Amino acid sequence: MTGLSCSRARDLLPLFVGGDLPVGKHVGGGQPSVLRAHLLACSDCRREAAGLQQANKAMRAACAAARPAVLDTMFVDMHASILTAVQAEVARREPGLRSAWRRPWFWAAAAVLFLAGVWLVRDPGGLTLLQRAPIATPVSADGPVLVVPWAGPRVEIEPLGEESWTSGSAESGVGPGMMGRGRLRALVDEGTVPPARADAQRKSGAAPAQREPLREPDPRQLEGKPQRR
Amino acid sequence: MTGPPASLPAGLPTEVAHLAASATISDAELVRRTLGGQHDAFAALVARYQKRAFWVAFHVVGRVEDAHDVTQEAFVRLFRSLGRYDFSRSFYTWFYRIVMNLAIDYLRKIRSSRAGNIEDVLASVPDAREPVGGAALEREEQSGQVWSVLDKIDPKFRAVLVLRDVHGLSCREIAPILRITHATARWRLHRGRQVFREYWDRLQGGPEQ
Repeated sequence: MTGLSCSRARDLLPLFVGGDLPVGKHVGGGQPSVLRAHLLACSDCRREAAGLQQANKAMRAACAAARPAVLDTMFVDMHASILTAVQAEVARREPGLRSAWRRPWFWAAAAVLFLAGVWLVRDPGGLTLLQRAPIATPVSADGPVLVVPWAGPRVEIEPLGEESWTSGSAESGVGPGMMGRGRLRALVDEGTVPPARADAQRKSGAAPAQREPLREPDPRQLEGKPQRR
Repeated sequence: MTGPPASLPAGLPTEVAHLAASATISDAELVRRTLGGQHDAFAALVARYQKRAFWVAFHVVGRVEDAHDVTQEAFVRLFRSLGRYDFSRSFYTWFYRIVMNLAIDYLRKIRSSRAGNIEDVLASVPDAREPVGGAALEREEQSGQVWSVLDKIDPKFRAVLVLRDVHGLSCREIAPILRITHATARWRLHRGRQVFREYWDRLQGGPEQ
């Protein structure tokens, strides 16, 4: 027996039978010849090497046998089918609407549309919210006028005569209503409404009605149509 | 293993056959021309490598139809990734990596459905030779047993066995194809041969005394 142990030799056999054993110091002394010498001296290891070699040869032979010449015609068809598949791949990658979002022009157009939309919806006067003059919006005839910032388009509220929404007293100038007309009349009396409007009101013959304190409108009293005087 | 193959498929267009057979036009040059829009250049690449790719795939997956599918998919993936090809690297290593990855993935998917059916494997093994006498039958039976054993081996060992023992690549060539180190390739080869021998002995009825 050589200096190489049987366990070490058998560990090297799978690479040895295929000629893959490297020449190096780690191979029991440095050379595959050391292993060869061990095999010559050890019948058990020699038998193990023979079994590995036989199995390896059978595998190579079986794989080599599966290469008949008749299959050469198959490669002609395979060549054509591969090129067809590649052409389908090229057609699939053609740019279309679906891939438009990946293009720079798509994002440029989106930015232009966005800016155009912002420009269209801006106020024509060009004033910002804080720059616009507030509109006096009376909440209560008795209380202070609550001034709120611009909360919508500028609309001139014209008094519409002496109509009242209540079905109660015809003399009542104060009552509920969508536009608070009764309340507006109260403001006219106390001078809050501009004089031009007050003159127009007087010319129309509307007599200033008695002011009554504001009260919560009773939904049950909101019946019928407004009465004109 | 690089460069024009020993034989090309018959029936190729003249220009494609000329490009594929030319020893002066390298694989990298064909890739460059393909990226430049020359369709014939890619057809020449296919002609150069389709046989080798097919046989590598066949020896991993074990069926002609499956190997055909793997080969076709490998070339489509190759075409898709041509723009990412590193011209400083070997085209052959890069393409074989695509083929092996596809073949191993394919094998893992179909392994459970095969269940080691020897008759099924025999039917898929192409053999133009007519069986003559007992020797041919014995060869055919042994071939079936080999495929049966290969089907049992883990795909990562089978890949190294096929590339080394069937296609003659060295462990240094195998390592970059499978994206493993040289030491890992040697270890898988070592283990693959051991495992093959164990299954083979079991099939043969035990080691000879």
